[in-house]
Amino acid sequence: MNVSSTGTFGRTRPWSSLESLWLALLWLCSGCGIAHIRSLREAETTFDRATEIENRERLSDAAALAELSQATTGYRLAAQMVDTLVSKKTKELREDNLLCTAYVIQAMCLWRLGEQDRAVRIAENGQDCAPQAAASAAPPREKVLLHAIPSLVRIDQANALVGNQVASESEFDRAKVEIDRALGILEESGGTLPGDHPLRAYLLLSEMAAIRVWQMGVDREHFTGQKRLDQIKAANDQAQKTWLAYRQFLACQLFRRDDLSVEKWRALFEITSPPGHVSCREETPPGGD
Amino acid sequence: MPAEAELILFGIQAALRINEQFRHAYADSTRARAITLPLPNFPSVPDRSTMENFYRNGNGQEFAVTNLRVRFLLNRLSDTGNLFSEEDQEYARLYQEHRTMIIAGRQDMVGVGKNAAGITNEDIIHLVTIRQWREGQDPNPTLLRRMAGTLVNIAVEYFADVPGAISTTTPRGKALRRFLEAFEAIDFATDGRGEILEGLFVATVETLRDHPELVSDDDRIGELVHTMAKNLFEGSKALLAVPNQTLSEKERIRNWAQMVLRSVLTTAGETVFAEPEKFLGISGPGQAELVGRVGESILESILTNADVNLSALFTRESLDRVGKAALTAAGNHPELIGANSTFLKNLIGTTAKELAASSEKLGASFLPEAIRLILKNTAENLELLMPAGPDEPGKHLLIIASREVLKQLAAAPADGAQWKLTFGAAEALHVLEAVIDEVVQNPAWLEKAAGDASTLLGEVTREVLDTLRKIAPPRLSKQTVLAILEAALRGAGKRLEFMEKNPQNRRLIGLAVEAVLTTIFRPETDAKAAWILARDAAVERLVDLVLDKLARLGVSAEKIEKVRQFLAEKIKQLAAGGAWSWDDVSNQLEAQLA
Repeated sequence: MNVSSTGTFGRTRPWSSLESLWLALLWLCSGCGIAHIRSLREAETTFDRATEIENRERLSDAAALAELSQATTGYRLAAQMVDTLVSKKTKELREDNLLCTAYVIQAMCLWRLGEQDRAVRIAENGQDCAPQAAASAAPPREKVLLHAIPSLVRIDQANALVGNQVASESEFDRAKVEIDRALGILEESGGTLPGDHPLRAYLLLSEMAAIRVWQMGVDREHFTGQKRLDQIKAANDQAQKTWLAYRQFLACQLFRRDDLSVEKWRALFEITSPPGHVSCREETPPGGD
Repeated sequence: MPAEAELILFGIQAALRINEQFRHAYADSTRARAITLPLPNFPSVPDRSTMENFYRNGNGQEFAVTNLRVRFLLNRLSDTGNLFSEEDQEYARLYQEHRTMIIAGRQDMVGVGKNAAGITNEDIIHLVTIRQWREGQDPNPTLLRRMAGTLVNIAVEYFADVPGAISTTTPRGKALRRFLEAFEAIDFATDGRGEILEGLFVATVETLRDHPELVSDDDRIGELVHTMAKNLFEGSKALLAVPNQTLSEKERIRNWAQMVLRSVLTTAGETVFAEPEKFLGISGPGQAELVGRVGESILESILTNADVNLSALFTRESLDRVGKAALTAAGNHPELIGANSTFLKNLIGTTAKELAASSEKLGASFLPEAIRLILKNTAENLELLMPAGPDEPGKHLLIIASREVLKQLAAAPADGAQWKLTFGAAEALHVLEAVIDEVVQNPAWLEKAAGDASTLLGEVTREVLDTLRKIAPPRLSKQTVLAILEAALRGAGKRLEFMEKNPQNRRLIGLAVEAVLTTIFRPETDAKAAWILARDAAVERLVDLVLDKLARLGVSAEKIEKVRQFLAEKIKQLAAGGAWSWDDVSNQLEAQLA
């Protein structure tokens, strides 16, 4: 079989040297000046893989240590790639309006690696990542994520507090401060997004994760008496409110009315579900991005 | 013709223009890419806090009232904030039991197993993979929009040596524009899709330049280019999406997409546009869609055939011929190649699969040509050749018959054979055409015996070849052997009795051929007689004559014996210096057999 490379097969006459040069230039140069974009995509892909591994293992019954270590390696690698990229190509990334994406990847990796202070610093400093041109703005997902990263860090910190060996009300109070602030930031972040932006699902999931930490904290910190009952009730109310918002969003905005996660989250909290189906009629149409 | 320096400068400028737009589009695409987000750490498995909420605020409140143990454990939790280990276990057991009762009552059990309520990755995987923008709300222009102007400019420059050949008002210009329109909404900055576009664009530009007849007088080519490019892009994209492919395999897909586009565009000019009468009833977009489907089917057939590596067998020329046959089939039976039809792909795939084993020994050029022959004849005789319907290519009469005959042709000579030459692609195709002729000309016989038609045709071939290999001298040419085989196939088609067997289980067709050959080639045959009859042309003619007479006047073991005696007598006469006239032989043999 004599299929030659692109563009030469079946010609009635051979390429002239000039034509060949012309085509070679065309093809070769189509990859010029995009190395920084390519590097960012590679970092993104590495980050994606690490996230998938971590999510899969963290949410499975028996997390394998090797897999989690693989995820950590992925985060470390992606963080290093973006570190190098940002330090050398900030100008180019900003011009292409990709600096925000780079900061998101970098901050998220550091967050998952436990380098929480650096993650928060990058997220906060990175909010000025949009190009200088007046017409440009930070992309909506990146803008909201950079704003929300400190809340994700807070949830991790609260989870660590309620899960440690110390069982005391003061430990719970420390955790609860982080949970409240995290919930505040997440709600605020969601408010800046159009009603049907898919990132809202992630923010609601994170809110529910925070409330789960709260729910568990009441028990793990050995609350007693009325204070225990009050906290359980408060966590239950908050869980129900957020869960209903999540269910509504999935059914009416993502058209995932039968999504299994809805019932699973309900069962995880053991909250009650109001009778009847979700009605989407009251939803107001979303605005633009 | 522009000066060389100008051409180089133009090349550089064009490359820079493309690169700039490509960089913007690549950045857009990177920004718009979905990323998977990690969730914060949280207790994803039900625990004691889950159970407590179940009894205090959830669906288990009634048990907190009615079940003493639950009440006791809740009180204990409230008093001390903790439970003993045994109490913990009892609490968990009670919760599982009560929860199951409630779920069973609602008849909507969620999951099974010890952790049925836990959140799993599968539950949220779709929800944590987040796009930058809502569906359809990406504010950035598509890569095509960014590049379209540049590509059109390049195409204009490409035709610079053909003054006035391209403008937005000429069919060629419109065709290129329609090409670009096919890619308007596609993000091809990912997964090498941009490279498919580049390849298809170059193929289109070249074809339009090299085949001015395509764009002579109407706009149909624009529609065709649009549909072909779109279909081949989608087909290639799907093929490229198969996981674990190497770079070379991906390159092969892109090259083939280009090659098929060139081939089908060119052959469409010679078929669809040149012979519109064959495509009556289909015009405009329908016609282009039909051709587009043909192109896509051919691409898929070549690249996705699990049984045969067709891409190693096809050349540009054979692809053109198959493409033409496929277009004719499509023109004759547009209903079969309509949207989502896999008819062509299945037919090509089945032909390749069924004939692959034999074709290996017959040479690389055989299979594409066999596919063409079967496509061509199917187009003309669909109902006849596919009595089980178009969805059953495995029961296609030509495929079955060809498979059996080719199996015999490809078989190695048995030990002790005198005539040991083997057949190549050209000879096999010759026989295949004869087989096809027979199948097409004898529909009633084939339809009745469809179940074992394949066996009979195979047996005719085997009987005749066995006889020839045993009796014919080594010098007998392949062409003569093929001519005898064709005569036998023709005879078998005319007279079913040729298929009958004698008490020694030999088919009469074999005996008839043997009767002629043994008479001519036996060692004791007189040299003077052999001088006249053993020439290839005479052997061919005599076998043909005998089989024709038997077919007309009836076939039986007795009549074949009469043939043997008649020929022996004629040889004696020749040896004695008698005359030989084909007309006399024909008349005398007819008289003997009548």
